[in-house]
Amino acid sequence: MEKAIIVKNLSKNFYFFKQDYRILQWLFTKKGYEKERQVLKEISFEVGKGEIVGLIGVNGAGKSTLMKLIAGITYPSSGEVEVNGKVGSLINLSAGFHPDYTGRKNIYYKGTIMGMSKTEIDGIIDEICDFVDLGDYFDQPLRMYSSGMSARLGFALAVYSRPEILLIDEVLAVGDKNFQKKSRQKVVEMFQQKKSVIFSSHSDELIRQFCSRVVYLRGGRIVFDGDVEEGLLKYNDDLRGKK
Amino acid sequence: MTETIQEKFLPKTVPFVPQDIYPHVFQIFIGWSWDKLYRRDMVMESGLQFQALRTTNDAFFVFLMNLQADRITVVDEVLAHHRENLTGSLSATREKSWDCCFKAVHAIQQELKKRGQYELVEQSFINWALNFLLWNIYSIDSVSVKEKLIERMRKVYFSELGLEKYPREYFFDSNEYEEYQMIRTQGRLREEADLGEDEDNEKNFRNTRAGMMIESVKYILSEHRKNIRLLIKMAFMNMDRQTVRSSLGMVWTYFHDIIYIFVFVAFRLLMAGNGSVMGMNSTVYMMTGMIPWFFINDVLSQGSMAIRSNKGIVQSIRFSVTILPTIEVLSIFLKRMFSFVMLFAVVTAFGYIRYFDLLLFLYYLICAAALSAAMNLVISAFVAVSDDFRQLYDALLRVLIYTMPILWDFSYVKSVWINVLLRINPMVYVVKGFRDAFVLGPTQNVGYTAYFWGCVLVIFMAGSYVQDRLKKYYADFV
Repeated sequence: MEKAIIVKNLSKNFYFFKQDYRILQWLFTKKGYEKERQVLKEISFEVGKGEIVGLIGVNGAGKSTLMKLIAGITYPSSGEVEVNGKVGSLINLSAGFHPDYTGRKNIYYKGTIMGMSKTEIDGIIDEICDFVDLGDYFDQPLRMYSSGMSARLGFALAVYSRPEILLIDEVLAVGDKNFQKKSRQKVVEMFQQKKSVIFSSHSDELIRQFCSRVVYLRGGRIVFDGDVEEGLLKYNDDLRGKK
Repeated sequence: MTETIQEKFLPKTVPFVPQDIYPHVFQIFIGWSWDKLYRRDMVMESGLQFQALRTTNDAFFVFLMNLQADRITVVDEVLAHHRENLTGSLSATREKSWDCCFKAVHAIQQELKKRGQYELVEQSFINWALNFLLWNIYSIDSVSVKEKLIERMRKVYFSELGLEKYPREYFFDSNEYEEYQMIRTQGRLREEADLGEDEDNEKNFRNTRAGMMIESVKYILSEHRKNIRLLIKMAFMNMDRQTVRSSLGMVWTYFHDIIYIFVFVAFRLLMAGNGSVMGMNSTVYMMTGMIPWFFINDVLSQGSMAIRSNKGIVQSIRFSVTILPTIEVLSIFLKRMFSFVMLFAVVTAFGYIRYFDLLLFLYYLICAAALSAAMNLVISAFVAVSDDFRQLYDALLRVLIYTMPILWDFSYVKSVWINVLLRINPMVYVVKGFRDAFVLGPTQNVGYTAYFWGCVLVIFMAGSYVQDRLKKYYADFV
């Protein structure tokens, strides 16, 4: 069976510059940076079709970077990422929205940026409108929304654009209780539709509930890839050890 | 007749019998069934069925039916259409059933042998088998599935079919034979390295700076071509981005322009009276220079922020960032269409309409757009990653209008060197050009025109190179 996501020897470096203009020097001569930090070190793993893989690790371990690499938002420093299927990234939900456009117009705006045609968006706009349950606010400018409301909008668009692969970066913890409940329900629905998922979370309970496998990222390396309970145990041990 | 039938192998008269086409029976018609009509009783009697496969399930039926039909005929009318490239179609997702091609080919071979017909059509079959297997490899996008299929070909399929006993001459297409040998001996497809010395030289060239620049240009052009619809859609969407909140919207932009022109014209009139410059009313002189200037200035200031002001898209959405500068230029262009119309109206009012050259106007419009798009490629890249650059750039921009023949004319400058220096700026060509289109008629010589387009080309190449190299880092550094 063909894999949904294949990551091979993936590394990602970040560079820090003392002065702003040094970046120009670096771009053309590869010299001039003050510090180099390797955020991901030779990562390799695969996600099969319909598999729900949990991604755990402390903040700064490289989870978001890994998601962004798989989503095609940023590029590897070395190694490769192969993705088979349409990716829906629940990483930064309110990115790409314009504060002066209404909720409805923003869906069309961001949807177009994501590559959807007007007809496609027309087909899902009503579902989105129902899901976000914003009432009159749906046709009001986004700058009047609370952060939770914008998040709902972004979430709805990502999810209703019918991706085959989902990358969830801790977004289920965002927003108020109502949103959390709704988004969780919707996500469960999608899991039942055999989507391939990478689910990054700090909540042991959610990982246990959804994932069939867990990948533990520590210091930019995969230190565990396998059974959920074992992985969580190792992760929690490390946390306690640090304290 | 369409390409689905190899006419050169067709018998002279129709209808014909299968024996007439034995030597090329697997080449004449394609193995799909949708362009064929069969007599029902013949199908039922034949006992032939489609194979239970995900893809290539019709080949068995079609080819064997070709061989046992009573009569075959062809018609010129197109009676059916076949949609291609539907994402999610069985054909487009062939990697899910990558081994079906062999199952079909093998089954046909077995059946032919069982019926004692194999020797009669062997060469045609073998050639088709190889061609079809290779085609399946090529049509799979997924790298891992491709490799798996190639491996399987090498280890199992080729020998199962008995390909090794045929010499090179047996095969109709020598390229296919070479590919078969490459897979058999080295387990991979032919790449540039195998295609001879010429290709080696080409690879060396590609690694030089010039080579890289050409690659960058090709890349930028292909990105633009791939995303052309999105580009246009976004340009229209972004037109009113800056004024969407206000009730008057884009009218404010024109209001801006009118005030600006008014102030400069009034100032000029107050200071120096209603004189004439270059044989035209000084007001007209200024206006015909201002309108292209508004466009260029917008591109240089607002356009340069194309990538930086779209931080959200760049950092969080999978997007072809290198088209953002061009989207911005197109957007500004559309927004300012009205300005051009306004200028036309004013110049008419001043009574200079006796010379309006539409062709010249359109030509210089194209010049303005081309130069702006090229410049924006370069500038937006640097502005996006370095704030020092942005600050310096902004400061210099303010001075720019005074170095162009908008508020004053170059004929006032006595020194030849300064004249030349000022003309090095390709924007001068555009500004002068607009004046030509509205009042003077063509005044610019071929030399300067060539210089201008040379500039556009060089700037475009530099811009492509910079965008290509920086594209990997925008998400990290903007």
